[in-house]
Amino acid sequence: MPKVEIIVDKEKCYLCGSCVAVCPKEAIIIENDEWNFFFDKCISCKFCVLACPVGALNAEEVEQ
Amino acid sequence: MKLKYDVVIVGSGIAGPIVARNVAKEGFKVLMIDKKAEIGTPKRCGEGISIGAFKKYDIPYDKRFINREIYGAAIYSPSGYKLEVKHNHVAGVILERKIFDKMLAYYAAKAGADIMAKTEAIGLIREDGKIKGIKARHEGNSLEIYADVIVAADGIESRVARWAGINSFLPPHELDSAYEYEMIIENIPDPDLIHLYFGNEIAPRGYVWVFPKDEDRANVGVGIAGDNPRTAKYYLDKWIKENNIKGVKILEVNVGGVPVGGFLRELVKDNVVVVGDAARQVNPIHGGGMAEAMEAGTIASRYITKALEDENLELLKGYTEEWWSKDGARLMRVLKIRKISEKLSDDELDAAVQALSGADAESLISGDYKKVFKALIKNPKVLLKPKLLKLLTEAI
Repeated sequence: MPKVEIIVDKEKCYLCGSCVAVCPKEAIIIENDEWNFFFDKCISCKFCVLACPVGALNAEEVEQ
Repeated sequence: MKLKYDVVIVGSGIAGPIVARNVAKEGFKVLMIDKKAEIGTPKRCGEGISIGAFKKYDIPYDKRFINREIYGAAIYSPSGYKLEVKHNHVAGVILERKIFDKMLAYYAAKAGADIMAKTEAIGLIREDGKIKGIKARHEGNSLEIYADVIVAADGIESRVARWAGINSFLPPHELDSAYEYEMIIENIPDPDLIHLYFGNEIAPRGYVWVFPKDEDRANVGVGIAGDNPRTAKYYLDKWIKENNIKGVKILEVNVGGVPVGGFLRELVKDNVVVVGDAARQVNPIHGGGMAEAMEAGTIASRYITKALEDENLELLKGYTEEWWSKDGARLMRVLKIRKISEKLSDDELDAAVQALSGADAESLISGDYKKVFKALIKNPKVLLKPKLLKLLTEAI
């Protein structure tokens, strides 16, 4: 599975936290009203992309 | 700044304030923090609750947070077959969560709890390998809140439980992805009922709801399985477009994830207690979690009080045991039914709704699924659907 980076569309995101709940590795954190992604923790499962109620998240493949 | 309390609660939704109120009432020093500047906003909720919750959990029936009294429900199958239950007494209400949540915090404050809005938990205080409290931030200032008991009531995105080492990861299939408009809708079939629309094309695994707040204003939302490749927003906009909804004017957009399964096994770890959405304590069929949060909060409060009185934090574990033996066991049965109903085709859903009577619907609402299934498997419409028959038989 290629390694991905999760990109948020801030215009669409409501900071609802669905992505945080379905992340097995705490690679997404919402703090101080900001959405943060931690590439090193991400295991590229893309659960967050699936779970987002508004389609605000995208997985972009990264070359290793 | 350093603070010292008996109990610190993170999150002022439903479960948090119930714990804060009940424990403060017993004379303990309680602080409840919430990251939001305004407790209760934004809502992530359809706002419906059954009437019994007020008395059961000692919550005043205050008109300030009640938008509309509801007398029953109408369920619609994919082809439009309707099953309706209408009482001559109030069965539930549609709340205004913005006011309700703030009032719950107010009741906690009146019972003696301290409350701090716009205060976000950012980590645990650990000393000598033990959890001693919560690190938090308020307008750029750091707070160290020392407490004997820490309550994680921080919702679907709970971090406190994970910090304590509780694995609260929720697989996408155990999440409902939800999207809702509070909007003007001029053709609500009956504004004294809540309306639920089922179907695999309408809302895969979930349903569309219309919860009236006025005769022409309602929360109109959808919940779908979290692993569905399309978004909840897609399904709601499609439903509104295809159903000739009149007068659409959008007053609010509400977005959220609902835990529908994956109830936390471990509700207590050391001195950390998890309640509400953070513990995944939600009804996995309808996705409502307010009554469940109140129940969990009530049980948790009793064990927190006992543990503090006896100065024995081991007693906190009684909450896990009691919750699992009562509400946990009930919700596991509900989950089992959900796992069957989510496999039904539109054709089978039509047959099931046609075969159900108003009395069956009453039994369903009260949670007596077995009785209904036993009646259904004898129904000629159901007998013609072998898969449906097999699933129902398995459920009994």
